[in-house]
Amino acid sequence: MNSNYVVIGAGGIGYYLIESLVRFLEYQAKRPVTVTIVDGDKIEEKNLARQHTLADLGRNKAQVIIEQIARKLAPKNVTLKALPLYFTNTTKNESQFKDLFADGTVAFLCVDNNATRYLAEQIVSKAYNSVLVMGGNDFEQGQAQLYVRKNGKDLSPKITDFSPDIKDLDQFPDEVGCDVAVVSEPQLLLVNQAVANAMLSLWYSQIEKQLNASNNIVSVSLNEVIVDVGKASAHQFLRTSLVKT
Amino acid sequence: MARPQFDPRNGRRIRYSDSQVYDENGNVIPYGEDHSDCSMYDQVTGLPRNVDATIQVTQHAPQAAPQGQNTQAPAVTVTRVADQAYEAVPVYDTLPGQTIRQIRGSFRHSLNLTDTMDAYVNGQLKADNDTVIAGNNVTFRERSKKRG
Repeated sequence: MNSNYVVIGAGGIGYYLIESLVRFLEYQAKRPVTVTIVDGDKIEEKNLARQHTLADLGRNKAQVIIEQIARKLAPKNVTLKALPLYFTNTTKNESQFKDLFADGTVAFLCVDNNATRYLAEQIVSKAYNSVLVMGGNDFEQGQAQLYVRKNGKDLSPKITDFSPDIKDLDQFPDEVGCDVAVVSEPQLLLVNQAVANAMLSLWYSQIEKQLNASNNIVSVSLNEVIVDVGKASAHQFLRTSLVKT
Repeated sequence: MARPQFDPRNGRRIRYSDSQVYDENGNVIPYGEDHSDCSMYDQVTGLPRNVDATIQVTQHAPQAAPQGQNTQAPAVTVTRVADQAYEAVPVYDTLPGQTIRQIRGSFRHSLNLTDTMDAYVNGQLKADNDTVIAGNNVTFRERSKKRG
């Protein structure tokens, strides 16, 4: 059973994913686990349309979320940790991140840049056992994608094998200038919520259910879910690698 | 077991629905006749959404759109990645030396290609003005969404 959960990104998608994940682990899985939230960003007024509260303006997103969950749930099975840092090429070796991707980790990537997505996938691709769930959206559409390592081998294609555009690297959040940050494109709260649910559904259907049934992950039958709140639709896919071997 | 590509009752191409609305084992839908309002398919063209389309570049000379009369081996295959089924679409061949932009335009309607789909050859991203050579398989797929 997985006991180490990591959520990188506590913004639009992460805000909705984290509380649902902790509720599930606390009240339905009922096993002792650690959930670590990683985000170096602070809450700004522009975030209030989709996440967080007026009272927390200026505070770190990861820290605020674990305080909110602790107040609401006072979880006994789930140990919550906040790391108020960006996870980047320059910070990945810092001591706080030392055990972030320990063997057996389930990582949820709720970030808004490909540089972090690619970095996380590269780390997971060297793990013995690990699960990586990525999410992303534009205004109305979004996707959840899954990559699973088992016993030192890929149980499913890498996400960049079927979405190579993730390798089209942009900047890490600590490299983005204010001029770029200010003109970020609008997003719908509904699509953030839909992607968070799709990520959790993908993890639950492909990982958690198998572990509950046999304490073993045998296979992956779906590795991408595409949601479109403009069409009220969600579709599942088993993507194969675009790279012919 | 390979799924049949044509409906023996009427000779029309069969399209398999990946929608949970349908029984995956039994229910097939005649190509272009899905009026189910299933959002998996474009209700105007009847073509599936969000699936990859792979175009095989051959050395045949280009031919006029055949109106279903092309008797040569199909030069184009659509890879239905969602269910691992394959569907041959007998549209006209592409000529080596064409650009990605030309191929996208040629197959825009028949394969439901959009301008937001990236083109890959053997997993490598290609620009619109890159050219293809015989033996290339050009796969078009939607870019992943980036915000979060």
